[in-house]
Amino acid sequence: MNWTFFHKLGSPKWFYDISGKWLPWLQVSSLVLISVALVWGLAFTPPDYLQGNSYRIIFIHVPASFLAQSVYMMMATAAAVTLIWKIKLADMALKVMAPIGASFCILSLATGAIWGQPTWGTWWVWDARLTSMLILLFLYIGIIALRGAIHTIEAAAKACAILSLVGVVNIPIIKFSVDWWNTLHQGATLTLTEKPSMAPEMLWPLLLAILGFYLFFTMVMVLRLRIEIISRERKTRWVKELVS
Amino acid sequence: MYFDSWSGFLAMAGHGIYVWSAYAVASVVIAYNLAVPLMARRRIFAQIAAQVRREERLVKRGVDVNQVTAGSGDDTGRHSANSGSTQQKHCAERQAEQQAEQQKENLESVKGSAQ
Repeated sequence: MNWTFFHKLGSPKWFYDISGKWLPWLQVSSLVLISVALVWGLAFTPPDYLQGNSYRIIFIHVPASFLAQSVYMMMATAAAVTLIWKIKLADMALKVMAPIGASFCILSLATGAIWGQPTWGTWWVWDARLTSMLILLFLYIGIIALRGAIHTIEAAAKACAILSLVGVVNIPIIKFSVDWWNTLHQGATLTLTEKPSMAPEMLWPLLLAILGFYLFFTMVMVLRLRIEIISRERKTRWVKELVS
Repeated sequence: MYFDSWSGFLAMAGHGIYVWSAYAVASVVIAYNLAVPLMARRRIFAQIAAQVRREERLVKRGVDVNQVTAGSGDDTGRHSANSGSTQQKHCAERQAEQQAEQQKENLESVKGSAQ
């Protein structure tokens, strides 16, 4: 097998060059998808027979929650790559993904609380789904703080990678919390194995919103990663030539 | 369009405050994620450009820049194998930088006294 692609992946300069070509596509597609999905979901879908119009929060709550968990899993993957192959780019990715994941975790918790008020009559309950999601936010904050506390780049990389991997145990707990415990939170809206329980006119804008949020995440992650590359490689010739 | 009027759209049959505040939080999060990289990019580029200009000035004055920028990154994209020596490397780097600064100041004071 030809392993050159793997070594290329580890080269910050190669990633900087290639990601520059992806950015315009990511910007246009995420902007178009998110605007279409949200306008569709806000203005053109019928209200829910049980929850009325408050269910329209789903078009941001579900994509934000999906992202908060997927970003954590991507961070854990980057952590494993950092520990096994010591690839600098993986640690840079781990670093830049943490604040983005945390912001979507906050969005998920906030929109959930706002949705809970008209639906359950309360902003917050110490329910399994909500509590495990709050723990996810604390994990994100812990990883960001840990990096801030260690000054050597290599030591910080190792410590953050280990913490990310340990925290992965929380992800299945979040996912199965609605099945394992009797929670106030409703069951999964979308599953890969079963037919969706949602009407198609509500399902389509939701799927578009999820795709749009993932593309948006990829776009801002690439933006941050490019800056991190420039910052860490500032002593190499190619960065100096790029800047001047 | 599901709603009959703008006011109906904004009110959402009593749920308007919840729906719109949730979308407001979403726009804040999206704006944050866009603003941070755009601002950081400008700052980093300015920092490195200033560093490059400083090194060029040092070269003109005959200071060995290679010593100043000791330990410039390798192109393999990997962390150095013996991470234990990094602390030392950082110290050596800082020392070299301080030396260079000192030399620069000396040069400047010499120039000043000559005028």
